[in-house]
Amino acid sequence: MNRDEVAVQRWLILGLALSITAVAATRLLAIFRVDGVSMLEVALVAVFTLLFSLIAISFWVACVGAHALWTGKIDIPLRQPDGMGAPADAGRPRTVLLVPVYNEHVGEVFARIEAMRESLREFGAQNGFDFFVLSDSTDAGCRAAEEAAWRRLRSRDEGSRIFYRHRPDNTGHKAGNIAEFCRNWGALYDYMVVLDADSLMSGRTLVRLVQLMDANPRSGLIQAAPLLVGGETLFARSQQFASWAYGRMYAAGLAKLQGPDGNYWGHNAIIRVRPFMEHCGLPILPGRPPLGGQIMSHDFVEAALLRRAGWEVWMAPEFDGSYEASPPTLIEHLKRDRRWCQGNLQHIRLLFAQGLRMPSRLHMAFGALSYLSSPLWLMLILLFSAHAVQIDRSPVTYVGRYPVLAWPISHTIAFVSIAIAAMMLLYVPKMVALAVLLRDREATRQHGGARKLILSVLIESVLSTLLAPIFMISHSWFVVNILIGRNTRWGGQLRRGKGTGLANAAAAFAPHTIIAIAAGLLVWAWTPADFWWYLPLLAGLGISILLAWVTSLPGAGAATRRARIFLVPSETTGVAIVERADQLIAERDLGERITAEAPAGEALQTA
Amino acid sequence: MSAQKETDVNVSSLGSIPKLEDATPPLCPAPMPHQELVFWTPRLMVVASLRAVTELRRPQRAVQHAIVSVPNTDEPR
Repeated sequence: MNRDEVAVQRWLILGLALSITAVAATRLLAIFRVDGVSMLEVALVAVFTLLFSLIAISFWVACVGAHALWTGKIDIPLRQPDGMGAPADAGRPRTVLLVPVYNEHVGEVFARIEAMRESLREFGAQNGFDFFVLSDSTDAGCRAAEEAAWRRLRSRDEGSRIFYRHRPDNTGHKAGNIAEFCRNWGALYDYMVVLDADSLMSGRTLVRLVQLMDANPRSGLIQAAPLLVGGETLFARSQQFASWAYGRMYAAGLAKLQGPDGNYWGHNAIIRVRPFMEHCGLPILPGRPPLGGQIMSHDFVEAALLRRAGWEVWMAPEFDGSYEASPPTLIEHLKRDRRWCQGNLQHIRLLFAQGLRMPSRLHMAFGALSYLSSPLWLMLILLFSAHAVQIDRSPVTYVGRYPVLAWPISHTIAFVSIAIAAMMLLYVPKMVALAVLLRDREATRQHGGARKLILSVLIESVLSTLLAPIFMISHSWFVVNILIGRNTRWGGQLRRGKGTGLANAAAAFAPHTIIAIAAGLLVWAWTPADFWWYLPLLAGLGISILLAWVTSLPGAGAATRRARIFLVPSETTGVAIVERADQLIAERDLGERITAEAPAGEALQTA
Repeated sequence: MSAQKETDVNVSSLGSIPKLEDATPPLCPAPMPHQELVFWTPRLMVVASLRAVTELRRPQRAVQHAIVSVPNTDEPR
């Protein structure tokens, strides 16, 4: 596919999405026009049109991705390197893997580094890659453990080039951490692979990425779409299943439509160091936090700055050796969303920066809309409810002393058809992804067989439907807080499968439950006939405490695994690097337990 | 592949372990300048629009044929 075809495909998808949005919006408007359009109805149609267009675009991106997977054409239009040998040897390591950490679980971080190092060695490419652990940790114990773990790793891996640097202040957070590395050591390397503390990339994928960069000198960044692994709780396992079952389809669709105007997701990407240093020093936004000041979600902005300077940014969905972990619980997921929400809303300002390319602006606009859509969905529901109440309470018209009998015109069929269209846009991509998987016998087997795969998609659909209103309320709250100027702390992240206590779940989701009860009572009192329409929304909110608690339990996750629900290839056939990392983590966990249980004297010996 | 546990490292072996001062390669400083972003403001948009309109109203620049003399000194004799 050449670049003109990318442009044609973009316009085609935009045209299709806007066409079905126009059909749905005019159908809704036609219902309202029967007895004149009120201001409430104008607002309703406007919000509906915006939201419908968003899910329509997402639907068509999924269709493009499904087509790419179905036909097996998911390669990006880059010049392919010859063969699969080790990258060109420059007599020095040309690529550095950066692992920024901030009060992370030290054992896991270093176990993953060791697993990646071993994987590179299997490809005979270990001499081409350095590792740099960039610590911003503020916790003294954590820092001491990092230093000890680095020493141990270096002593176990003679001749390895694994470096460790601690920064006393974490100015600029992760972006500042990377920038500080670039200023001090960036000139030593051609490429850097930026990782998260929970990232894992196979040696094969790393080598391939370097080769692609070598073969395509205009490429500034190639993002390898990561798959989720290592989930233990029910929540993490459902997210992980969605990532394997649907994520590849969306990534393939995005890659096709973005072409060289791709985006950066902040980790699991290879970056050409020189242009990054020349063009990606982040500016400070005018104004005060949360919307001004330091840029929090740096990745989208760095991709936009690279594109502004003429460098290509690609998404590569064909790599299967790029992994990360999911937050273990709903609460941890929402904590991360709170930070991402602030970062994405900051990007609204950048939409009006001069010199950026339109696709870069669209990345930022869609990022912001992914959070702004929550208050918009809430507004749509409230507007529909107000409209329903207004219709039910329409004043009776009198001619003289006699009431005029207004024969009610039923719009049920029209409303239901619009609702079904919206539902189809949301759920058909899941079914299409299922069809793509079922067509591939090996993929079906890796997901537990056809019957279990279908059951998993159905359960995931129900679970995501129940979680959707919880996300809607939470994200709306985040947006309101950010808009009124409340800043968030860019803190560390819990990445392990600890369950949420029932008391914690109750404290976090009591507002959601109260909203569900109050809204349910109001709907029942004012428009009882519509109550069943609201039930899917109210059900998720009503059981949010139970849902957050149950989905956080590793036991519930293990039970679904025993029942062969939500199985993914990393759990069935296994992925070598994931298994090795898990093995190393288990060894370190055992070591920690022995140290903790040992008498003080022994512990000192082993410290 | 080593199955050694972290606890297996004892004090006597710490002598051969690199010091933290040697944890990084020598510095190789290079600049990474902060990028300038100029934001569209209503005033800037008006100025840019006026400039675009002025540019549009100008007569199109004529294309003049250039006459380039080519020396023939490098021709084979």
